[in-house]
Amino acid sequence: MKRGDPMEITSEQFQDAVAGGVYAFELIVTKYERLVYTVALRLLKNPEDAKDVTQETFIKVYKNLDKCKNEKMLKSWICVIANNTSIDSIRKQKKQSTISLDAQIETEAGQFIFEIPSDEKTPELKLIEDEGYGELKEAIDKLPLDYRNVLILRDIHSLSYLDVAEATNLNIGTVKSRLARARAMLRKLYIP
Amino acid sequence: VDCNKCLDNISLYIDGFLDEEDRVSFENHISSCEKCKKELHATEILVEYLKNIPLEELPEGLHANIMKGIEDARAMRRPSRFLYSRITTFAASLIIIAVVFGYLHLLPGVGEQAATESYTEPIMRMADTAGDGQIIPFAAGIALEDFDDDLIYPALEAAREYGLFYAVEFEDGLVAIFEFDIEEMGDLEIDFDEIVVIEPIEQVHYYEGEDDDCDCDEICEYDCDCGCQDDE
Repeated sequence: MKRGDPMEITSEQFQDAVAGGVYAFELIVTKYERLVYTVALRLLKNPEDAKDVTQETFIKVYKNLDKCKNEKMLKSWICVIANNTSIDSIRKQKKQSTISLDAQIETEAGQFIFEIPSDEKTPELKLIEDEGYGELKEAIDKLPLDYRNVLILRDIHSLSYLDVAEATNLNIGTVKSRLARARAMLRKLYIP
Repeated sequence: VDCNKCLDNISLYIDGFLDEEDRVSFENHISSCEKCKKELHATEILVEYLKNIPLEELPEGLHANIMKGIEDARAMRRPSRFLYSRITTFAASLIIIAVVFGYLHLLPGVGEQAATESYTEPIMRMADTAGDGQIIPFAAGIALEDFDDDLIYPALEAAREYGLFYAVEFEDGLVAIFEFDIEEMGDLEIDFDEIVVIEPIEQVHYYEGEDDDCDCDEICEYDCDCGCQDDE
């Protein structure tokens, strides 16, 4: 199975979940929890933080499900919430962290951004990651956040440019240029 | 098209975002430049790889933790602290209804409207009005949202004097009635943005003749120093 896809959410199940039905909502959780965790882990680079963000994301989804137009929009809508919750978490961490100068990365515009040094990965995690994609994931993790963010939403989770623009609060032109730059950077970090 | 321009356009080409003229120029360059051709091919493979990255395995216990968070969030949306015993509460509600209807004749308009109803009719009506788990605030046995402008004021007066009451319909069709003391509302662990009760509370504030400079929250008249209580 390429991507976790337990079942389709029907219109009726979606409406049940919007009405607050926990059973129907659990179907949504089951379908999208790995997606949310993957977004969070790629952005935060720390399994414990990714777990917290995954939980927080689904609580936001539960409380605001009536704002999602229909079940067909669920994936991109949840993806956007996961993305934004992850970015918020990174911002909070940055405020709280003592930042090492060694962690600075210069962006295209010459500004310095600060990457949170990731925790050491356990041997088990490395083993799980190493199904042929471990090196690619490590290369993605090295991208500056602004570029990683766009690349994850568009190339890994297949959001449209419009959805990526909405999620990141960027215009489509900036999304295009950041994605092009992210792919070019990734090409230098990873050779297929 | 030079190599730099071509490399800049690889991403847009892959996603089909080059216009016709740029696309033709790009393809012409690619056909004659091995370096750019190789880069295009490698980037196409990379994008395909990215699309196929498997989702991460969910850590053990995370699904259960998510659902526990959802249950907690759900509990915050419902007055669960009042739901220890639905049967007991339902029995108590009959007493409350009887007490409230005892005051109906004191309310202009309300008494006339409700006096002909039996004690069970309001319960049935609220069962129809309330959805699953929805909360309908009512005063003097009538849902506040059912009052028109002429009747809202006496209804709110009744609510303030005798307390606010809520009808909750459960999945099995059982309707329970709860009483909230308006004075204690600030202590309730309920997000008032999430439930319909916010409307009557705002209306209470409106009828107090609020201060335009007051920027406190909707139930300010019971908590703040804005002077709205002094207007009474």
